Amino acid sequence: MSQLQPRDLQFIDAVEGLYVSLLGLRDSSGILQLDLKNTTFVKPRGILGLVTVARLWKDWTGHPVVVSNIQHRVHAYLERMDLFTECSEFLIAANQLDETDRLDRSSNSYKLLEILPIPSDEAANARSVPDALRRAKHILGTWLDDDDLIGSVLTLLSEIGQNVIHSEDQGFAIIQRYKKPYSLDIELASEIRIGIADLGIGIEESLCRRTPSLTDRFNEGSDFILHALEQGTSGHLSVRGLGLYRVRSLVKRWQGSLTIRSFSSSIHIENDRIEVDDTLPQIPGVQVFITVRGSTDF
Amino acid sequence: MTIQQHELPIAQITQTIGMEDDFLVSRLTGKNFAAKLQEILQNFPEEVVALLDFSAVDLMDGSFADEVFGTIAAARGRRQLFIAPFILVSLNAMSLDNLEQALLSRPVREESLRNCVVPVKSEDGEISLVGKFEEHVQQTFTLLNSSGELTTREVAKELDLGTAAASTRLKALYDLGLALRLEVRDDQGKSFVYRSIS
Repeated sequence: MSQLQPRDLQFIDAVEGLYVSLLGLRDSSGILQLDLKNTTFVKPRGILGLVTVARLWKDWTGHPVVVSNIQHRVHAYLERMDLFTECSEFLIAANQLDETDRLDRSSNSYKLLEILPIPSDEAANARSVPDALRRAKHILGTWLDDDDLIGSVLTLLSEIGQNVIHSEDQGFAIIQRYKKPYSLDIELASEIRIGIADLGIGIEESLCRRTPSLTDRFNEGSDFILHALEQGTSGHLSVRGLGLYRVRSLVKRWQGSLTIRSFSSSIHIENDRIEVDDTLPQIPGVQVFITVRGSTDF
Repeated sequence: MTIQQHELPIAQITQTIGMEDDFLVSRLTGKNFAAKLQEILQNFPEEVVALLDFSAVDLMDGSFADEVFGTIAAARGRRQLFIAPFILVSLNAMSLDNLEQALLSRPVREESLRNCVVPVKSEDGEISLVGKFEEHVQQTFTLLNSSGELTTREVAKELDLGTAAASTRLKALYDLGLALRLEVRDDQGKSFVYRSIS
């Protein structure tokens, strides 16, 4: 049995560090025990990091990841997210949560949308995404009093949910709302975070299959990600070329941020500033993380 | 002959392709929807304008809008599709925004496409053009809507154009699904009268 003990997974560096450690165990076998004793809080990126690690491990070894030493508050949150039920084939909690520790499931009681599997098969995806949007609309309606923002979040979820078709692998999506009571700007004092992750062919491969000449134009993985954000990416009509461009424009409209990670590259866009990194651990597929901001009224 | 407007609720189309009418998303669903919509509009009687009623729609995303209205508007812009005119009504703000972005993106992907436009009726009853269109399309569309009915000679006079240019302008509106056309025969032969879709 292999073991890993990541740092506090609320931090992006700790999630990336977990990926590095995982890749170091590439030739191992059997169950992977993941000790979460250092994790005090989890955000969407941390949850999807756990899903990614466990799915990869299952692919490599055929065995699940068993998560142990989960702090009560974190465990309650992960259970509330349906993490261990939706991902039971590859992610198992070592201990059961006491019934008394479980979080209330009424839609008004918590600020999240449970983890949603999104199939990559186009027909299944076309059925699944509207179902996800119905669930999201229901819960967003309890959080927000702004139809425009609700519409934007639903559009973002729709576009990134359909994007997994290109990756050719099932995706997992989550939405989480946060309030920042001490924010100086009341118009930006709440956040909605959306995340989705898959283990598919990634952006570079997906683009190059449609436009092989791109390999001559670009050197780095981040070049391909940035290219995917442009309008009318390939000029071929059947190509989507609209989804991520639309995502980017909506994120800008709501003064948010957009992070796209694929294999060893990522781009992060916030306030028109673009940061790129092509030195990340090689994790297959695409991960998209979106933050949009609004007033505390919602 | 008077113009008739026929209400066409989105559900009337979605039910036939086995989907609900609240979330119009995805290209695959859009393809199926577009095929059904075109079939219905091809069988519409002359002088009838379809009012596509979106009041039950929570969201139409950009992929769906592009697959349905981007495809239809682009085909009309290339003069490759002739179906009954339609007007989109009761679109919510986000769906309208997604539609506009989809239509604006088409000419970026198809460089020779000069017009990719659909008419949308706002809450106040005004019909506006959404998408990418040349200035003369807007000018002639506005003139036709204010007049209700125009001939080539009238457009030439109103806009100080030659007859050929006026004829081209009206024909362009008709091709884009932004005007109805009625053939008239009299002592001087055959001519066309163009009517507003509003």
